[in-house]
Amino acid sequence: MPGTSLVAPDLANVAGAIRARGGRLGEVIHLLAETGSTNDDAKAGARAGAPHGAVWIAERQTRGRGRQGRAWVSPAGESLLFSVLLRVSCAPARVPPLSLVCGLAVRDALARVLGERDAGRALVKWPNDVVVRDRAGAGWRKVAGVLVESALVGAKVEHVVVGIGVNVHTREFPEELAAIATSVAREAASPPDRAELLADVLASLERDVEQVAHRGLGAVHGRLAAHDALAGRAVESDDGGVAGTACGIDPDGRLLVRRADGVLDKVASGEVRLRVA
Amino acid sequence: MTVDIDKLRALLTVLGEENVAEFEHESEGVRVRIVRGGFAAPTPAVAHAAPALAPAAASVEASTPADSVDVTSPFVGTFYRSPSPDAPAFCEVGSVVRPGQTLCIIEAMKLMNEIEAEMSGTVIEIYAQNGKPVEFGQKLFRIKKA
Repeated sequence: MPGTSLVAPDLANVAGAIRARGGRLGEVIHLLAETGSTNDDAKAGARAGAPHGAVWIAERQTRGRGRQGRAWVSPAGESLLFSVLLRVSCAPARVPPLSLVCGLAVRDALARVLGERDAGRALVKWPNDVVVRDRAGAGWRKVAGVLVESALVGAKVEHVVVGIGVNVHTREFPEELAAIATSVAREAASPPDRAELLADVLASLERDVEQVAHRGLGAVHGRLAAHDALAGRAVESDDGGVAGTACGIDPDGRLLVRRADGVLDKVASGEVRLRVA
Repeated sequence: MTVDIDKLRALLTVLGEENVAEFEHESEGVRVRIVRGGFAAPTPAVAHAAPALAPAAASVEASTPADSVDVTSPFVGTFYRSPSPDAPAFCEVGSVVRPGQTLCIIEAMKLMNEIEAEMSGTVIEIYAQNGKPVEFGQKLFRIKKA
């Protein structure tokens, strides 16, 4: 496969790892030593007619980003950075819940690497940050971020691009991130393999995306609830408009927050954080 | 419910002068909603005042003029006019847009959804405010067909 000499050995076998699991996601792979942003590559590919399931993987991103253009920094070879193009034909309102499915797919793959004893520490912080709970159980650290971008023309979903960044081999984080970030290598007993991790994420997406796009979150709701990092925690929205106790995710994917006066708020957008007492 | 006719008349004059297609205002339990039938019309086609919380179906509105279309929100979310806070807006009132051109982003559950123009035309109204929540079906833009 072209590109394999440009990446570290644990990514070189990515095509084999994907093929071993079957499925249509990852049949077309673009392996890049460096790119601006894999999401931008995937969006350009989508407009140029790339097929459902095409994947862009990069060792290094120079313009990686998160929500509202926030920068995402990653040293070469340490992270798993990729984007998947999904072509789904569903109602526009079915698209946002796919964002939760993507977080869940990364969580599932992470849980598998952590092994049976530690799988329960892999959680999703609504809507799709993947975090690892401390062994003491008090807090967590973020291990992966997901940014889903889609385009709509009228009632037609043109494309959905799922961008995923996982801290895999990183041992030391910059001071400002040390308390809030972790990596698969720091949490797992055995050294992680990025090709296997990526193939696991794709396999999980393969299983859930079509289902949720056409029938809603019902089929995955139990798993969302079981791995909900915020459940029972005191939270507030980033704009301060909502504050209370997180109490689950509704069938449309919204975060439920019970206010002190008993009123139930449903948060559809924006971010929430733990409230400091 | 009372409507101050003089105030309403003054409002209509200003809206006409400023070429505003649609206006809604609520104060002290009275909601005033004005939709001008033809964009270039010198006077509003319909002026209607309804009590607050009246069902939408009860209001009498002029139909959307045939030469312009409203772009509405596909789901509940947050409306963004630019890809990041320091980037220029995708479009402004007066912008000429082509099919497939991004008009805005609606964010829901950290899904950034670009709303693209369906046809060529000119943006004549931006109803929603940057960074604010929007409801399913809420009007975002009015586009005058080219």
